[in-house]
Amino acid sequence: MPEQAMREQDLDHLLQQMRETAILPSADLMQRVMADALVHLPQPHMAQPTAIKAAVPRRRGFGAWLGQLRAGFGGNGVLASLGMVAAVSVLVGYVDLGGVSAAVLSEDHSELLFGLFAPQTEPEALELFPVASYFLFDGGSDAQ
Amino acid sequence: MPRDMMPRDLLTEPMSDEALLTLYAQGHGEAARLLAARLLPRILSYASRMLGGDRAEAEDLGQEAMLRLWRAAPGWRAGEAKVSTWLYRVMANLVIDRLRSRQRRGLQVPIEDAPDLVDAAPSAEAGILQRLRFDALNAALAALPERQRQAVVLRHFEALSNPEIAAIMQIGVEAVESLVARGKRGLTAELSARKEELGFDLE
Repeated sequence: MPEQAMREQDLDHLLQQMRETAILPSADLMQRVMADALVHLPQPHMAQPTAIKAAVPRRRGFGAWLGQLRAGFGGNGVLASLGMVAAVSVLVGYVDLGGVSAAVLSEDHSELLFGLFAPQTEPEALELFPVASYFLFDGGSDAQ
Repeated sequence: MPRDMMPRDLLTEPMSDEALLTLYAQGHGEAARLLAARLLPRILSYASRMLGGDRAEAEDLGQEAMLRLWRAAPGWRAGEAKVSTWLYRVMANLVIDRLRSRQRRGLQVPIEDAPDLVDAAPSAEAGILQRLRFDALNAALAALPERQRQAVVLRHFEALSNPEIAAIMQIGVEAVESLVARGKRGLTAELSARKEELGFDLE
């Protein structure tokens, strides 16, 4: 090693000493940096409703309405059952309740449907709105 | 923001730079203060050493680098890079641009006084000697080629590992080792010419 050359350990020591001298940001610099940070501070976002909407595919027209109805009643099975009950209820309102009651109580419920559509031996006026007739005809047939 | 609305971790437990940046991106301004306190001294030190101790220029570049970090925060993707590495890289590019601008304008790199010592010298004579050495080291650093100076500063002043330096400088680890070795040889050659003046013979 040449006599004039500085020892490597001297350089390492000098580098170490200089590293230990702190270079701290001035108060003015920190203020400027924080001012920039506040100017660019992102605003907190509200929950995005589109994320919820995206989970349910949207359809248009009758299909969309039917889909919503189906979803509201809990599925196709429930909707079909309710539809059957509704249909039976409407039919019951048009036929002799006694005949229907007997058929409902019988074990063979197929009589219910047969009895509903079997011709009556004594045609009678259908009381579509028996309660209404009570009010329309001065208390109904009992009053007559 | 009221302290009772701050995430508990921010108040009581040290968080990573990435976690702080994520909080800042979510609107927590306090996270910016903690990040700045942690990162700004480091990049300021780096810039100051690279610019021959020019404090004013180093502070200007430090502000610019932090501004770019605030702007990048909303789009920051965790896991892609360390925040400190990214910031050092930004600062390195800013410093290089400034140095080349000086060269184009024919300006010499100003060698300003070494930073004030933290009163480590036991006597006035030792303090004067240390200041002389620091000034000489600053001058020797300024005389190094840009890439060697960058590698030496990141290695010996910022105490970064060679892989971290490689990520900042976007070169291989072996290239970093080569730059550091050549840079130190250059510093040794510069300082050897003033060995007696700087008192290295006496040690």
